[in-house]
Amino acid sequence: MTTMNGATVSVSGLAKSFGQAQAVRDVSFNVHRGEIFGLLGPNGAGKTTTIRMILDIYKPDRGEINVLGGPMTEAKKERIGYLPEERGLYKDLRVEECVLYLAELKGLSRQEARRRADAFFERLGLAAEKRKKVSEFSKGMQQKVQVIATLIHAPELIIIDEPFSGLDPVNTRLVQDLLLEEHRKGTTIIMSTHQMYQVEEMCDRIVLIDKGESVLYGSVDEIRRQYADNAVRVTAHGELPHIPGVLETSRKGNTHTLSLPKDMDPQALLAQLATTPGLKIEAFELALPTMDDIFVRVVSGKQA
Amino acid sequence: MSKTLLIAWHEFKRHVFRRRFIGILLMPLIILAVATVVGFISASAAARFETGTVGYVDPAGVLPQAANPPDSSFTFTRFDDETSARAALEQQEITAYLVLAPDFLTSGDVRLIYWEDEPSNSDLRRAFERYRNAHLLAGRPASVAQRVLEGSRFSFETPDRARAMRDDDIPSFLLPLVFTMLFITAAFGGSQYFMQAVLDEKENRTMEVLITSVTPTQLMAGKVFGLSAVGLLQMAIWSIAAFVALSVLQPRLPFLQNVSLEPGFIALALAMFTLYYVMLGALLAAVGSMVVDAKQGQNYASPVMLIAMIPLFFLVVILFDPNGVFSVILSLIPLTSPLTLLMRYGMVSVPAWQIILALMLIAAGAAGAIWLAGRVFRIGMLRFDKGVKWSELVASIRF
Repeated sequence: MTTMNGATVSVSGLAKSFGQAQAVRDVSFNVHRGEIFGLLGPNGAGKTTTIRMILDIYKPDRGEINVLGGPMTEAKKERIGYLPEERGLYKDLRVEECVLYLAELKGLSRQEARRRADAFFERLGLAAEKRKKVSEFSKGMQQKVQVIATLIHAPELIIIDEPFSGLDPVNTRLVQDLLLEEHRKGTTIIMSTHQMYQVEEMCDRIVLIDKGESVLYGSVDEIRRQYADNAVRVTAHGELPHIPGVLETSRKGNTHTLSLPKDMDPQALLAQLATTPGLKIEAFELALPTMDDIFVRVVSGKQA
Repeated sequence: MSKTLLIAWHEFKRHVFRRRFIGILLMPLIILAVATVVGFISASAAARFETGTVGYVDPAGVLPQAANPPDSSFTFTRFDDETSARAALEQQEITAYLVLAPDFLTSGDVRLIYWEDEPSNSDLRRAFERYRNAHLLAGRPASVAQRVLEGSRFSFETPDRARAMRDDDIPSFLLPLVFTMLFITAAFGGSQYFMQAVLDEKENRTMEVLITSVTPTQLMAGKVFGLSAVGLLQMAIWSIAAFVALSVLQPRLPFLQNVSLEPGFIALALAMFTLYYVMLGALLAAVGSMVVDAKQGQNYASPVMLIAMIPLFFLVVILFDPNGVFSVILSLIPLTSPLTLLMRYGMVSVPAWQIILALMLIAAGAAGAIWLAGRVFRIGMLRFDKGVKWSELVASIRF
């Protein structure tokens, strides 16, 4: 279900203070149905407070929030899966018991919860150890159990805060695959993370929050284009000819990065290179900045 | 199953199906066993001095040798002078001797001379007074002499005879006291579960997931139901064990023959226990919400527990003046009322208005504590790194 403007989550003019400290000043964004939306920002920017307001844990001082077609209700909580940054499990319970309890609190019958839990345990290689106590599990294994508890009730909206922190590359890939699988099923995912390569790889759109305000918002591709200088990256065999007007050229192996004047059309450059004898072009692309670069540029620019 | 019941069942299982709970159930039995052993050792140590032959020297000649009362634990023998008495003491024919002052009739002074082990003072004094009285009563009719020796037996009754107690009926007075202590131990111990249950979910960080699945009210209500059930189960098992022990011991121990707990006392104790348990539990749940770990929790909880224990600090005042102003005030303050009121109930007739008012106040106290716990929970539930300050607590109450 979506709100009237087509968004699964819609946040507008949000503000929240705790005593003298203003955690969120002015945050607005929409999350479209079925997309993976990145909630980015430096530590203390107000991301977690924003998430907690979306989930109705905190009441905003100002602003409007719509989730799954309107204000948050108790019934809607069962349609949301949440993995907070500060997370944990009952250490003294058996892993299976812990997952079943959390699943039942999300409205599943014990029988159904058990059936789904078994499928997840099987898939994540925990089936043989599901009767062990949580305290006997490594941190990575506990992370996997927490992801199971977040997904077990097949939520329509997943809000996940730093999903990959503390995971080794193998488990990172495993959790990433699980989330992408949910994404393919049409589940909307809001993901807060510091790992920018994950954002580039997974997110459709993002909002960057800094000092409690949304400072950058849009699709990942658009933002990268927006922040791109006029530069191209060419991978080619053979020597690049001298091209008049190119400001700077750098080379790493067979890949050359060429900075162009603002009025120079990359298409014209491509046409010129394509007709250069003895030059075999393997790749030609706009040299877009990484999300990491943009993040640092925006945040430090503001701080300067 | 509703989410509140689900949480209640979860809390109940987490506490009851644990080895620790069996330990808690066995605790009164262990205390009883230790008390019995200590009592036995003390009794056998004291027994050496509670019997024997004691001499006396009577220069004033007011107490000629008389027949010793048949059931006296000490036998008294008259000596003509202190030299012969000392000789008998050195020969260990007697365990001690008394020297009556020459002006004994006016002063009543008596010196006790003993070898190494001092005889039990009160027992010897009582035995000597019985011996002296037997002498003074010589020649009186046997029935008169016996009555004077045995004294009067008082019983205390209300005009409607609803409450009656005899002054020699010590077990009937002690039983409510023991029951009250048991009850307070259960309430103090059980209420700690409430703090721990909230604290656990903060410490293990499941809190944030829980409150996006249930409302704070459902979470707190589930905990209160589940943990109250744990407390009531514990109390029920202890009570059943106490009744079984009593019914087994009664035929064997004569002084327990007439002991019974009044239904009125049991009903009052149950009502008070339930309300008190919920109130104390909710207060400690509030503490659990305010703090970040168990150690800080104990610091915050100690003022509550100290107030609750005031009746124990002033036990003597309550026992000696059960209907005094101090005892009545403590009977009405919710945190101290069950302990005070139930102790008084075993000793005197407590006016009905005090019982009704105390129950109303403790019910209000329980409701207030739940309300407070809800308030504090909302501001403190996600404080993982630093606790809620007292000023924030006051602000949340005013808000």
